[in-house]
Amino acid sequence: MERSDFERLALEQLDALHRAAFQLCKNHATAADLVQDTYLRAIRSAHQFEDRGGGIRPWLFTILHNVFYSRLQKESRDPIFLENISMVDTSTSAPDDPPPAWSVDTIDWDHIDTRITESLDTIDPDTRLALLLWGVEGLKYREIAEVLGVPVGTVMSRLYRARQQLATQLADLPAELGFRIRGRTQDHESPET
Amino acid sequence: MSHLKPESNNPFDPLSPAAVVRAAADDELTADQQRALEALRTQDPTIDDRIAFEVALKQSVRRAMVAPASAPASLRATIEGLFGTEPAVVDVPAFTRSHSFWARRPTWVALAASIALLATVAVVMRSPLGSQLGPTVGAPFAAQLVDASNFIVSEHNHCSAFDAYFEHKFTVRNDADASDEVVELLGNPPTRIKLDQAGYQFVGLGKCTVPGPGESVHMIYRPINKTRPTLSLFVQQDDARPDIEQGVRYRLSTQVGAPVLIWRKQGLIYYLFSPDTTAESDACDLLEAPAVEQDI
Repeated sequence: MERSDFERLALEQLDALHRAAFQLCKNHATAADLVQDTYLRAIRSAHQFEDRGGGIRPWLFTILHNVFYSRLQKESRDPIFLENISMVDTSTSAPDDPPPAWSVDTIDWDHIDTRITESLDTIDPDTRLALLLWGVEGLKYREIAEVLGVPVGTVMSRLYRARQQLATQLADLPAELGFRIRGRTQDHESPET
Repeated sequence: MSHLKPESNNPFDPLSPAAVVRAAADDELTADQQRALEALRTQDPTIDDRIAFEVALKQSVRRAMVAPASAPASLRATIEGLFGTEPAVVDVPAFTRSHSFWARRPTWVALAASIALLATVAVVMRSPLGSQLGPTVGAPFAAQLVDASNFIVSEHNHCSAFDAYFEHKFTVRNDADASDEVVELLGNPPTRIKLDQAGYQFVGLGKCTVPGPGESVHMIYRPINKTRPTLSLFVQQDDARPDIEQGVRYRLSTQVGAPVLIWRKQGLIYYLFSPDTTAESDACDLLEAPAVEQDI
């Protein structure tokens, strides 16, 4: 690939990388720093890039992910640093009930967006990145697995748990907003108003 | 035959109704899941609403995470500037997750442990105890266990530093994912992952290469009481080696005092190590390790 083509393709991903960096560290200045470091490494290793069908984007996300964790360990060599990363207890797997059959037309999505935004802040950085790559960037499970360096099954289970967590945050919405959940047992239905 | 498994509520069963709904919403249905979805539609009139909810939830995640939509102009200018000035080079610092254990220089501790272990085996195999071990623990097996134990002590020491190597190696950081990973890599579920009741908190799991046939993983635990040392549990695929008896917990002494404990259970071989023998005993109880002990 010509250097000019590489630069053009890489630059096209700047917004996406910046979003991902922000979701990892939740700090604008650090995100900008991470992105800069990511591009620096990408330029230096441009010759290593191989398009495996997903374009340059998964490759750049992989570098960003690794830069983030390299920095994390550099900045805190004490094992306690692990406790400083925002993490929720995702150790419990609830039974896999199908998602509620809410009528999406009647839901106040603005209200839900607010709830979800709040909930996302309590999720660990790796899962937040998986959610971003899945929900915003449209990567396939396989591509997300490559970026995070984990098996596809792990990506699916992380996304499953994140969705469960988000759904839990929304559990009281039917009652709050006064709509009925269809296809659920009576004791899960909210009273109609 | 129905492709649907309505009785399944296992979150990782790809043919459970919920997994099919999620895959449909994500446009990631496999052929089996597609057939399961068709079967599900005939049984559950709300299925399309459920898919619509998942799609809507995904869109909500998108709206919540899409900001900041654009990188700051100053950052764009900086990156464009990098393209103009930064030369591409051939040799770059490695930042992939792959990391070769053998590429690293062994520590003095590992070297000392290796010598101690080899000496122990040499003495044992020449002693009456060695002959008593007979066909149960033969010389090749003992040598293999020495290799494995040497590796285990060395890896435990390296990873307990929680430095860059830890970051590269331990790709799974929560215990629920760890159990899935063990099944995926080794084919069988571990007895348990969490050792909280023994005073140890799961920190991470990573692939590793315990000497001997079969894939293996390393799980590392941090003490809840921070004055105690860390604890490592290595799990390896059981290749049906004839020398290791079911129902026996083998102890291989090391120079650091505490032994490496080894046992076989339900298709897996476990190697447990911590410099704290009490921690090892507590973990063994939780892991349902065999009560019968045999020194090697």
